[in-house]
Amino acid sequence: MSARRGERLGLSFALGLPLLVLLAVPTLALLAALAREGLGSGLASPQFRAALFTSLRTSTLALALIVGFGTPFAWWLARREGRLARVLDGLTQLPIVMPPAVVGLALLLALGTQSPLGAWLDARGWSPAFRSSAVVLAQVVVASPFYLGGARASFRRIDRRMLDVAATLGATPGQVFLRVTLPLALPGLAAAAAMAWARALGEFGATLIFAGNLPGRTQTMPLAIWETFDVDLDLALAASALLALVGALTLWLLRGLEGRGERMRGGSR
Amino acid sequence: MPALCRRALLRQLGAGAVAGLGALACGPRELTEDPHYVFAASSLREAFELISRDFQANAPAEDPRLALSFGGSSTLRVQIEHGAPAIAFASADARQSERLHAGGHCETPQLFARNRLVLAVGAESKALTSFDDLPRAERIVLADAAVPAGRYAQLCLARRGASFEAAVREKVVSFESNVRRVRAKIESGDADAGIVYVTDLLATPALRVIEIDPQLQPEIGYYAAATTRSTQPALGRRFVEHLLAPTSQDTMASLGFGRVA
Repeated sequence: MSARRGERLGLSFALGLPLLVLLAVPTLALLAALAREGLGSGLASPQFRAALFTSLRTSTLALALIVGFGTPFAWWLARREGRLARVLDGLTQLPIVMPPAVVGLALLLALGTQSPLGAWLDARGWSPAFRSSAVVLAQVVVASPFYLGGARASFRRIDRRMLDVAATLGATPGQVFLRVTLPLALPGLAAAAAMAWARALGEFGATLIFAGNLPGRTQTMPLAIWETFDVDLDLALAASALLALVGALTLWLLRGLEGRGERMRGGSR
Repeated sequence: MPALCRRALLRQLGAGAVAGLGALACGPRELTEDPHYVFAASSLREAFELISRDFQANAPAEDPRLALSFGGSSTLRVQIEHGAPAIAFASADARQSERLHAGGHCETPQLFARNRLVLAVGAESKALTSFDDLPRAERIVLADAAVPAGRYAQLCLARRGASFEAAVREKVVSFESNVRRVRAKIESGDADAGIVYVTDLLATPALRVIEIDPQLQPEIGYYAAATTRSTQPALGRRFVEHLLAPTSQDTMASLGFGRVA
């Protein structure tokens, strides 16, 4: 990883330094809060324990849905070149530029009891709004663009000749996908999944509107932090630090997986 | 043996995912038992936590569990209109509960508490001694006109006169989305003065309170009603009635709210 001669890395670093400082400031503030309050006060509060459980449960389910449905779709997006694929690709990225509160309102208008679909679902007791399924849906909508984008890019990086070789050696398309494509794309898929999961865990605006702030049911960590913020700033900070720690640990684990995947490729790139 | 290794990794990931999802599908018991929610404006949080504790302590044992959900009055109103499972709604202004009632989503709203505006001043700003001095403050912070506290502050300034309002507006450094954040800005020293509810200042002895003339005060009322789509209409109605009970009125008065009964 040493720099090549003649590269002006020192200058690049100096130019990037303000951004680094800006990124470090909130982390340091959280660490200071953590040192002052300790992890205990966040975990000791029953409200935050319930919220942490809700957060972990919903974001993991959201991730499973995103990866389960998103992987085949990202593969399709990666292989199709036509106008339809381009339009659909743009549509899937739309939630990234929309304010999450708008996403939440749109979901509420589409699936709340005032919409025909929502009313039909509600009459059968299947209405997803204001339940933990609403939290999961909000997270899927807000986080899946990150997975789709990353997975599509990862699939596109695969050398097509490898797939052709596998096919000429007698592998069925299914076998090619499972034994060649997927393993080759895996590090990129893992990174994209980590991004999507982190985004789902931090989801706030869409959840607040579509799922409501219902403690014990739809109140996730970000919602509990927001609610506590006006009453007990230190407790809110301690809980934020707890969330950041859980997030950092998971990202670290996923990065580890990604690194393992890279090593398996044995420096093929 | 990279291929084997890859397959093992995939299998491991798959098994982990299945086990994890299984564990998530069945949560702890207390989370699967559904409480019934009272939706209340954020500014009622301290009062309602005490009142609902008292309500549940004196309720029959077979009563379902009650829980509170706090948020901005208008957000809560929209959510109830779209099917949120509230058994009662307590709003920080008449407007939101009237709109909910007009749409047929709640019963007739009942006035259960009042509030009034005061000027909150940072400990260092000694120059300010009365509401009339407000234009002399260096940095003023107000709640945004989109939230009730901001609308009330605007009404109050307008009643004092157009030139006064203009002079104050010149000094406003921030419009906050929440009245508690107005208080926080003054507490942290980012602003010298701001208009807040008297109930916001009880727990904040560091700030100086300057009263505002009753003639300038807008009518600030808190309204509650049981919802019509409620799964527990009787429970919702009993909670609304309980808000007018002497013990609840005492609790709210001790937090600075004005009595209505």
